[in-house]
Amino acid sequence: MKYTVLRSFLGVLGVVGLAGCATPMNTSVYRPPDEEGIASRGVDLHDYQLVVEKMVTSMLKHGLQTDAGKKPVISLGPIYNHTPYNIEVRMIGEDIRTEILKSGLAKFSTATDFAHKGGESGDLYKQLEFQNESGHVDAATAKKYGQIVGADYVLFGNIYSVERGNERITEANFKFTLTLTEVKTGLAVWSDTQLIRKNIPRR
Amino acid sequence: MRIFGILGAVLAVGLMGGCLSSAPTTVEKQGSEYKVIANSFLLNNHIRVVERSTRLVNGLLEAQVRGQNIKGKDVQFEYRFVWLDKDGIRLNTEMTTWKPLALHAKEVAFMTAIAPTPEATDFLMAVRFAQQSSRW
Repeated sequence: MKYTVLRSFLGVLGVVGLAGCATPMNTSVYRPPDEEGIASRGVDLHDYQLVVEKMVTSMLKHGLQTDAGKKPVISLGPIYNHTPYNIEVRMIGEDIRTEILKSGLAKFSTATDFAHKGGESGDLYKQLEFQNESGHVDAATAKKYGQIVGADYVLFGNIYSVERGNERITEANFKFTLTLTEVKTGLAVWSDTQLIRKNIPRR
Repeated sequence: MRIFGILGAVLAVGLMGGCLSSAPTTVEKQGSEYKVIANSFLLNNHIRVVERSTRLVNGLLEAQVRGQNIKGKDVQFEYRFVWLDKDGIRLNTEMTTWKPLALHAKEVAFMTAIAPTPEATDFLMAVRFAQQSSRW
């Protein structure tokens, strides 16, 4: 009888203890965005953050030359995706821009896409056209053509992937390379890479 | 009869020890000194945070924390830095991602980061196990 009571007590203690140790975060709807997400063979939000943090840290540490106290101006160039996966390359560039702007290291030009007239650059040109040609804007306050600041640097990038696997697991390797090129001289003044390797079990 | 009592005590202590392992080990300022706060008994038996250094690079605070895997086997950790301003208020930045850190047996790790803005004058650093199943 006493043994039965003790066994029951131990059983209850074990169940309560294990329940107390369960991680409640897994059950919440909103997961912290700085945490690793559901394992995916492609690039997920956490991978983007790892790339952005590495690149921004490297760029801040390197620093950028300025002319007589002027902050350098960077323009976001293309980041080419050479992988079979859909990677939001623009998001990487924009996140880097956000963090560099917060740091005060450089300014960014968004006037980069004159030919296509799309995106934020296209909207900027449309606004200039509206101010100068629509006749709706007070000429005294209209911003004139030809005053856009020329970028000192352009940020280019490439993303590659190599995938291997066996019957149990797929290994996805991604390599992100970003390069900052000085427009005036065409010289690359900064470059860095971030490797991401993910092992995804096959179902 | 007595053996069940001992078993019960061992089980209770073991479970409590397990529950204590949910929190990361942090390096944080207490007064004018930096202290390593080992919130997890289990994690503290895997990684030892031993040294902290800072310097200014391009006007930004660069931080390095040295740690060592004190176990005789490979372990995967994650770490992150959280940046604070001069008043101790956390800065709003994306630069606080948990970063993977795989350490071989007895290997020494240098966890480094650079502050995202000149306003960052202080930091917190936290280490935890990489696998969620180890963080219970």
